[in-house]
Amino acid sequence: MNKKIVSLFSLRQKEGIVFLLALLGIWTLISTQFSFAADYLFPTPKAVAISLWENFPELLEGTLSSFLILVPAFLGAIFLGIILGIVAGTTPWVNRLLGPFSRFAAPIPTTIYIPYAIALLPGFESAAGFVIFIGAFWPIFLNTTTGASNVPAHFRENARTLELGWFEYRAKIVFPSALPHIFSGVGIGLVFAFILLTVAELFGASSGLGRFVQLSADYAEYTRMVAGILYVGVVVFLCSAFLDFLKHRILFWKKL
Amino acid sequence: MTSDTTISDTGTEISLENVSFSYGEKSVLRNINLHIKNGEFVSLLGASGSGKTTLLRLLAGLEKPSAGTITDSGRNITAPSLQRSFVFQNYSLFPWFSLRENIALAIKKAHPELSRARRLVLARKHLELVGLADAVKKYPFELSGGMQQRGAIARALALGAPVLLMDEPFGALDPVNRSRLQDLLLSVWRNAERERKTVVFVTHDVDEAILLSDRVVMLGSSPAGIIDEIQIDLPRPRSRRILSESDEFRRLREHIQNRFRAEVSRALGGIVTGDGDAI
Repeated sequence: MNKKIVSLFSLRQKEGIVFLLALLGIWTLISTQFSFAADYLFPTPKAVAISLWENFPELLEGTLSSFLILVPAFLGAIFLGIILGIVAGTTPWVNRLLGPFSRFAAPIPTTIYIPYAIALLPGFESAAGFVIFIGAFWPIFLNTTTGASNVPAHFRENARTLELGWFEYRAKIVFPSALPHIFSGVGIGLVFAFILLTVAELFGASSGLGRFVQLSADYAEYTRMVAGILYVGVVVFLCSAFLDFLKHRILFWKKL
Repeated sequence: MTSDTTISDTGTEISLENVSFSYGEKSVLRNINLHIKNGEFVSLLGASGSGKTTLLRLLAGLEKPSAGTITDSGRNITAPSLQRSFVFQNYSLFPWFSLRENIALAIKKAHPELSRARRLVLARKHLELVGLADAVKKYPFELSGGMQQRGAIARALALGAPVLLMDEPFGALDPVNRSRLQDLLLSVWRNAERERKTVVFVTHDVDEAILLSDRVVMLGSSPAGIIDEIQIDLPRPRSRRILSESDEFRRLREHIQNRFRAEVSRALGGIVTGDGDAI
């Protein structure tokens, strides 16, 4: 595969870097030159950087504990979302069966389930995992369904002339053909998963990234809190970049 | 699936009896009667909109006729079958599989008993046959249009079907590649080790039709149907260069072109009088 190496960091554009530096400059300026009613609410970049450094071990630990919930739930959503999406997208009666339900259930903001899930399920981990699963499942399932029901006619007919079987057709033709849609679903699902994870942790976690931020707020340690927010931003960014990298690797045959 | 492959050496392979096809109100093909012999190379020649591709799709089983019957070796054609390989103008190869994987998938369908390793070896052999030995691991997007169509031919041959249905397979190629692929097709067709394949070849290129075929079936468009059938008795092997100096070739070409010209003016005339007779 003589594909160009796709940069993990799409920060190569000069304009983007200039903008980031400008934001940092404005932040420095505001936090050092102007005096606010409550200075501690608006820490300097330097203070945040030091806090980030000091809290790094704890943040890593929080990442691990968050990922132990997030990864299985997210992988489960990918697995089930793709399989059900392919079946629904290629089998009209399944699509008709699930259609009304998914049109009703998919738009419900998943955050609304959190208190109920915590009350219903044993332990915080299973509740958070369940909510992440639901939140990530819908965009993956719906996008996969769209991709699977829109396999171009020339691929479908080509497959028909080969007399591909039920499973072979779905595995070798529908799945690769739907991959671009699947990747958009997974990308949206990933962002949802992080939102739900951190929100759920605000509710009742004993560790994790959201918990780190919530705890800082409880003790009015806003420097530590901003450090935590920035850290979460970086983690989500890295996960998205990794997904993008995978997408370019797997969809090498598609001009992206 | 592949148990009923016994083909009689003589007689008609593919038969169309009073076949019509319409999309809703629009009649695409009307009353087609056509008999294609075993091992015959038949071109369907016509302008765009003459229904030649539709006719080929009916033969493939990709479409069902509105009326009439189509049979392959006596059996009704109701769905696509491994007994008839289809070569599309584009996209005969799946872009997410390498050339070798594409061919191996066809081999897997034709010979499910073979191991994966054996299939890959066979795939390579078929690719060597069409001059793609150096590209076995390449993906379709890495290949030129001509190479992709070579791959499509390799796949069709790998399927081992007795009938080859080709839908303007060289229509998107430049003249040089086009004539190379025509030569390649003729040589694999002539050198077929076992039974010579029956080929139905759709084209709008008169020279291409004459060069390749035993018989040219001309399709008109209003009403849609066969307007003429021309037997091509030019000696084989044929080549473009020899044919261009042949009087018989020139005569055939002129005949076909005149036939089309007459058809066009008849169709245009039909429109004029049609206006007059409006209900």
